[in-house]
Amino acid sequence: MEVTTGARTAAAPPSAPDPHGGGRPATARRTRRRRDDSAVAGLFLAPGLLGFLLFIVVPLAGSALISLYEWPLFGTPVFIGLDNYTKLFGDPAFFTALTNTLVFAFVYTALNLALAIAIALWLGTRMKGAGIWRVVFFLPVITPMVANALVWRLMLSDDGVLNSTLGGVGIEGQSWLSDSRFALAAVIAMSVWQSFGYNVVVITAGLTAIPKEILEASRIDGTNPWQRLRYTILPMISPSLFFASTMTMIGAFQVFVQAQVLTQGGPGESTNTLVLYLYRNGFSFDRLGYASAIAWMLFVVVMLVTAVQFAGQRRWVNYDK
Amino acid sequence: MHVRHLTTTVAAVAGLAVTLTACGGGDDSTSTTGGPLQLYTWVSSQSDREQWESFVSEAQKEDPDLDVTIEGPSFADYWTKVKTRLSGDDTPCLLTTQAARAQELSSLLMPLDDLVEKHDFDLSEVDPSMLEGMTVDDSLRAIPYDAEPVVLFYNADAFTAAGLTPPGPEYSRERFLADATALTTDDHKALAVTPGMFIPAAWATAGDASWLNGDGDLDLTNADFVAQLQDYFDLVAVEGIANPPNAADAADVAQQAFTSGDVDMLIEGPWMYGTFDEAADFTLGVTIVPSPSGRPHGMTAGSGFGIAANCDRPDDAFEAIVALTSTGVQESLAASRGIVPARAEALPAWAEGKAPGAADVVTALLGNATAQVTTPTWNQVETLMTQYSVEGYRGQRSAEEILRTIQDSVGG
Repeated sequence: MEVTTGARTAAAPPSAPDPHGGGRPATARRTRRRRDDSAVAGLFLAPGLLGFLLFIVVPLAGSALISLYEWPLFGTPVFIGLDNYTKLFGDPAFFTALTNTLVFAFVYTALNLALAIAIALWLGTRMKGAGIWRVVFFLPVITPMVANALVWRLMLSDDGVLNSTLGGVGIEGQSWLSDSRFALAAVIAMSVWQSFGYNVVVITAGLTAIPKEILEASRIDGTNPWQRLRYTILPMISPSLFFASTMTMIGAFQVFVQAQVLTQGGPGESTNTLVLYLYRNGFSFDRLGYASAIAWMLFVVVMLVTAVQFAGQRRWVNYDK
Repeated sequence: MHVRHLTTTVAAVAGLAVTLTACGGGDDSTSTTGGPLQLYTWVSSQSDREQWESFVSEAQKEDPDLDVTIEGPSFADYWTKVKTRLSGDDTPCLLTTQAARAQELSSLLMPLDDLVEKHDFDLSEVDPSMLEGMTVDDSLRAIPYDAEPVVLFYNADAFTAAGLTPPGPEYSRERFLADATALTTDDHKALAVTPGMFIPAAWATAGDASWLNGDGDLDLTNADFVAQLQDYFDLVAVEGIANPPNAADAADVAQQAFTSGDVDMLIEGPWMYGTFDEAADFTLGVTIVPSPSGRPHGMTAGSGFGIAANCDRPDDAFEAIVALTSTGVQESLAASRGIVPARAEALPAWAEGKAPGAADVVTALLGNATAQVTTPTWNQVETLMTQYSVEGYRGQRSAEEILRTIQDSVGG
């Protein structure tokens, strides 16, 4: 492709001949043309790059800068160096929110993927109405999260549908949202229900891409279904699983709405998450600097976890067909 | 494409960006160039807008030249957006605040003491507890238009049916507990409670306790306040006269339980009178928040008008506030919107259409009232109390434990 060639040439080492110097005319013409190409490439890249700069790089840098200040919404910011970070490392609520977020992220991602794989395999068994079921499982994904969370709040409240149903069969219900032993589990359950349908679609796409000959060959070799899943299907859909696990994990670290609507971070701090804590510090407690420091810690944690996932993929993700 | 074309395109894009930026600057009706004064306040609904318009139209009867425009976000967003609104250009001169938020907004609100003196504004006519609530660092930041002592609403029919005497302007804790126990059955509770600090603070005030020390700093862990809060938690956890609230319950859950008859009593602000009276199909009664002695000690909540710290027409703004908080305006708003006026002389207007004795209760509470004075960190206290009180009502944590945690988190 011409654009790519131009861009690569533009990044050529300094030993390339100077177009304004005494090089041969043919070389000068070629270089000039490559320069024109790089201008075109720059133009094509500009919209994306501009967006990336404006909406990612500038806010990131701005957030890093704000985190070094005591920055109220109204009034003059005061430079305090790394004090926000020092305070953060001495703040028990931050560590509780971090722990809650980590527990949420790993448990939610694991349950989400396990359920999505199970459902995708079930839908792939030539069952009747698979398409309808796929839509049913996908519906929560396209429903607004706040609406879902409100419905779950009504279902899980002390006198909600779940406890009424349990009471009907003689089981005493629990305060699912107001008892710190169950609240985080309730938030995870709602979140998994809300979003596993997306991964069902991703994994289904991976499953349908497996050549039938391979599965037939493994059947002829006398494998049982469990062996086929373990040694054929899972390795074959590992790129889909890698994509699903990475994206689900990144999304999980940003959990906010569920905790805000279902439990408001309570009882106590049992469902307080990093983004909820960040939001409250920034926009309720008027501490934008501190909120920015939390945002940066979240950024670092997500980067680390994602980096570990990418590093680990070499061991289990298989791109061979 | 040639470099010249690229340059042209980039210039065009940059020009467009500059144009768009310029378009985002809002209109030019600045408060600094004369003309109408802008009132920035909470406008959550059409009803809110009508209330503020009533203020202005009634105030225009006092001052026909008054020209005030109204803008603002919802109540929930107001406390954040007012800060960013004042950070930009074209800032409004008039603001509203609650007494409970006066500390939080103190840097936005101009001290009014000099203007009060200059304009000979008579503060003696205004409820003293609300003036105290609007005072930050010894200077007045807003002129209150209402003074609403928190009250106990009750279902008078339920009291009568149970053979109990409906309470009036005196109500002791002992009698309250006896009544509530009599009204509570296996599947019916007497009271509804909500997570958060507002109602517990009113309960503690009735018990003569405060969450502040003598210097006005946060002191949640003083023995009196802890004891009052534990008493309040115990109404649910020990006495069982109310169901514990769910973690994310807002005030409307308890309000709904009261108006639908699921519970018989609810502690709330008197501004809910009209709403409750309309929604309930029982006779609405009002009494004081029960106190150990039975005598009233009210916690007043209320709002007022202030002037933005960066307003450069403070005299115009103060004259507008004088008109907006005049007796005539308060009488009109008390009658039409049900606000309990900050001027005692306007209170008879509120009493019209209320149950017999309701005005006596409010008058009794205002006779011994303390404003809900807070600290700049009160929002954090309120948020943490919302999270932790759920466990307090369930007896899973003591008041002392919860208040210690909040005090340590929030600091001074």
